[in-house]
Amino acid sequence: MLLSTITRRKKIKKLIVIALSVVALCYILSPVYWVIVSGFQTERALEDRPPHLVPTKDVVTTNHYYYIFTGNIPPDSTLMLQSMYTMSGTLVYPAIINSIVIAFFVTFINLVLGFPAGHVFARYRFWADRKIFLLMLATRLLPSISIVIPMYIILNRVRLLDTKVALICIYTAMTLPFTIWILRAYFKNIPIAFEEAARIDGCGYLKMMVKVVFPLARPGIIAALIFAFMTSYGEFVFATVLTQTIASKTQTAVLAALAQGMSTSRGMIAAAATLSFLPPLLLATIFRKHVLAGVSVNLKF
Amino acid sequence: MNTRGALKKNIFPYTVILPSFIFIALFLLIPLLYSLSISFQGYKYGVPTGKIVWFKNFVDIFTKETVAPGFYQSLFVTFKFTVSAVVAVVVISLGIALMMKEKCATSSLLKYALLLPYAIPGVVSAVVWNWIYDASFGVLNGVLYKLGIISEYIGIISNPDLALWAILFAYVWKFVPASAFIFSAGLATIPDSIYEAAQIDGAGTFRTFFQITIPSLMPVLQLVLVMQTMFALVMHFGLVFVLTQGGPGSSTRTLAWLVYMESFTYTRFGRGTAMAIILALIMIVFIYVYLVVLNHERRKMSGG
Amino acid sequence: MRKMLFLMICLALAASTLFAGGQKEEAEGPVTLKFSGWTYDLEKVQENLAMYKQWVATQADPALPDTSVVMEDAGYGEFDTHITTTFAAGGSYDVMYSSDHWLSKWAEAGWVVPVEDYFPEIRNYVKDIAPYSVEAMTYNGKLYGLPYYTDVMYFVYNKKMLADAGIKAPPDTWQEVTEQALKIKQAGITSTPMMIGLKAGSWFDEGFYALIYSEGGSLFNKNLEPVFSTDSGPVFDMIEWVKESINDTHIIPRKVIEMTAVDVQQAFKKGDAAFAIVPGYMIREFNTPGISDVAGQADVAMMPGKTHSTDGYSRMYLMGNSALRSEKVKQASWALIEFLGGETTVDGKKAYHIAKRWAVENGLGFSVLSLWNDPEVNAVFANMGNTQVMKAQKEKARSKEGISAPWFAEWISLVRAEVQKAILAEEATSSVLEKIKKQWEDLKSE
Repeated sequence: MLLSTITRRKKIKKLIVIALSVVALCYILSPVYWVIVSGFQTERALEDRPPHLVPTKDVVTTNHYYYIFTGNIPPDSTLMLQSMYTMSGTLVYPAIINSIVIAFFVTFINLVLGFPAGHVFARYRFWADRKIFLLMLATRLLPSISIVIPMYIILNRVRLLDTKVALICIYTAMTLPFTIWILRAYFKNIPIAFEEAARIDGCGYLKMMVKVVFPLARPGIIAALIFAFMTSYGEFVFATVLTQTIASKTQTAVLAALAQGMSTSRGMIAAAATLSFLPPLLLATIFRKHVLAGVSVNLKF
Repeated sequence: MNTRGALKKNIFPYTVILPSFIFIALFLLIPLLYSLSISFQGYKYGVPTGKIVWFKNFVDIFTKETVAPGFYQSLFVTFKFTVSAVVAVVVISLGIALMMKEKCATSSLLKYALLLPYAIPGVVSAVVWNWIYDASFGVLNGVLYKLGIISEYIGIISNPDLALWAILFAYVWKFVPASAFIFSAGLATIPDSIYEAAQIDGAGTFRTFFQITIPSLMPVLQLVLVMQTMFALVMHFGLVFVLTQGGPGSSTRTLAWLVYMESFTYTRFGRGTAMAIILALIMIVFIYVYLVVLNHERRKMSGG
Repeated sequence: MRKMLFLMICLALAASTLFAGGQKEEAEGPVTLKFSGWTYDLEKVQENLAMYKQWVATQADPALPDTSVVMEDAGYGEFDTHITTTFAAGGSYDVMYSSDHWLSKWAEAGWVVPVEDYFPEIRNYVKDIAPYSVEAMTYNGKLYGLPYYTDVMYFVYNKKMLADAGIKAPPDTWQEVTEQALKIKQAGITSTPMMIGLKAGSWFDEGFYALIYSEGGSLFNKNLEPVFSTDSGPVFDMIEWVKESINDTHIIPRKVIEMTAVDVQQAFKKGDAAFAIVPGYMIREFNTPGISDVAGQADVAMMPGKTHSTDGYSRMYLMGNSALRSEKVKQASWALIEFLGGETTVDGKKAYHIAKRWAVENGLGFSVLSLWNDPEVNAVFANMGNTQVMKAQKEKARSKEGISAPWFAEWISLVRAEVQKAILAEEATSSVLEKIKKQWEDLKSE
């Protein structure tokens, strides 16, 4: 083939890719843009048709955020709109903190327990190897809605309803199988030579894991942990049913309640939504390299 | 000394796994088994009748006149949605992963942009999409109106033909990033030398794609298909709950939605958990099909 | 090593905070009531609960202990799920909100108890509460609670739009509604003259029943037997009317299928509709300048149709089965219900204090007939529209037939989906009506 044809083809290909990327970017970014922008507009402005895509000076307001953080009705909002600022608005940031705390502990436990477990599944061949593994996978099969009531009964009996601990335990159980699965596949791709060398040098198990295996597998571990964090941060079913007071309510529960309230301020919901996705966004941005590193290719069952 | 060492080695893996297993057993397996037992019981208005009805709940789902038609319809809707969702997510995320591979101006932008839908919790995105689609004030209507595509605001969620696809659109938005990341990682492991060789051999874009890229991605594709099927069968629930509540008519009544209705609105916990079990079985069937078919493909391509 | 230990201790301390919350043990002496309601104006609710606590203290009644109330709330849309899960798993509340369409379900399951059995004095309230509300709070002939707020579906119209189209008076029959709507549409005033919330959900029920009742239709008799015809009569006619309005005359936009009453309220405020069927409490916003684009233009007319009847819905306070755990708790629970929904003497004045508060401050409807005599209440409602019409309409309100059946929730869920199909002309009305009739009969015979 002529070199010029190849270069031309490459150029056309690049143009098509850029065009499609722009379309994809619009699709991905526009809802996010909209929710951020709505949080800063007045309630009346949000009812305008067509809506203000780029807020101008007369529609911008920080009232919604003011209310969320102080619980006081903003001084310049009208009497009627006060009923739109339900008290739940002030629950938003405590709920976000609950979500962060819960997700943090879940991730931590996933690290402490899932990391060695994944390693063991990858390295050792023992009797129930595949069976236990499939069992773990099977636990993800029933939708949360159907095990919610048994869960409630159990928690009620041990007096752990409405606690963060309960949610942490449930989410850990939910995320461990995936963590172990991902890590197992990842480890299978790392040559065992490093570990053997460490053993020969006289390293104990713990030292080997921490000093040798962990650094090697770090990208995979972080990717799995981020997945665990995201899952527990955004979980809906258990968070709404098993929590009652702000002692344990997560942002998922509070936001769902807000969105359901009759005539709740749209702007406030948008502001709450924006705040609620900042923590995971921050996390994803800090660890973006690891999120993208992802999972190993050789996945065997 | 030797036997003790050998014994230690034998139980060692079990001791490491034990804590994880305890968590999973306590908080997933036990409630799961409890659910199973509930599906075998009779329930009337939220209270167990105390009678074990064995498989009556399951039989009712498939044959009872007041339940079966709705159930079959939900199977149809679920099937429609799941297949479309899996195909859409896989195709779009693979496409985006390929686009990110091309080193051009937009590829790194895409990488960062994808983090956003991934970071947004599901319920939040459902609420946002609900507004976007709003028939009286929604921004989607607003943009279409401004662009002159429509002359007045249209109802999307109220249109039985559009409602399911509107949910699909919002669902795909949320679930593409994770798969795109996985595909991206998979693509990165394919050495450039293979592509260069293909190019020298004169292979066009499509040939390269089907003969090199896809086979190399087989295991990743398998993983993504399995994950996405599991998700598509259940994770659309938040969207249906916020946007359509199963309507209009029955156009968005999926099996997952039906499970919720049976358990909480009708308080027929026995039947509800039975439906959930059927849903789980469907999931298993799908996964099994993938594993068998794709392993066969893999063997064909790598062996032969 | 020391660093590790320090880290461990910090972690342990931090972890102990995770146990915050959880259930508290029931102490002797002062009583703590568990109360649950949905998330609406929680500040005011907390104020009311504080007033209750104070009132109990001033009563100095030996049978009534020092009481505090702990409230747990959930979104209205999930409230049923929340209560169902709690009770089905063995938990409970002493007092809670409820809506009329949940009472029979919860009562049948034994989760709420008939207050009348323990405090027969509750029957003294019957004469002062609108009949449709009493009906909604009664199950198996016993009264289960007192009203939180009730409301009826009103027919609201935009005076200015009618005047601009040259229409002298609001419509009296549904035929006139069609004619007037077409006139308004042709005059270019709005392209969607009539709106009613028909999204699958509880607002659908209220609108649906309002339409049927307006023509004097009936779904079930006292014995819960279906009494509607599947190919003629008011039920059939009204569904057909909506179908025609959407598909033939185009006076109702198809998007109503995704609109709740709240969405209709928002659209009406913007001047999208000339006629709307909305619950009473929404009317307040229509005539408030600064909030509504049609301030001063909205008014209420009697529901068109042969009998001008409408649907009335009730939200109420119920007593949960855990209230029976001790005499003190029982007394305190009844006292709370009576304080919130009944007549009590506070600061020397005997009145329906809390009901009045909701009416005056939030514009929530009430079923307590004597509140009409209160000038403050009257003033607030006069702002909304013609109080004579509102009063007359309330008297013609009927509660939803069929809600006293425990299987109502299951049945109505099917009705919503099927009637939507009929309205969208996807299925013939008669076949839809046959389906829902059969479903009712099947559920009844179980």
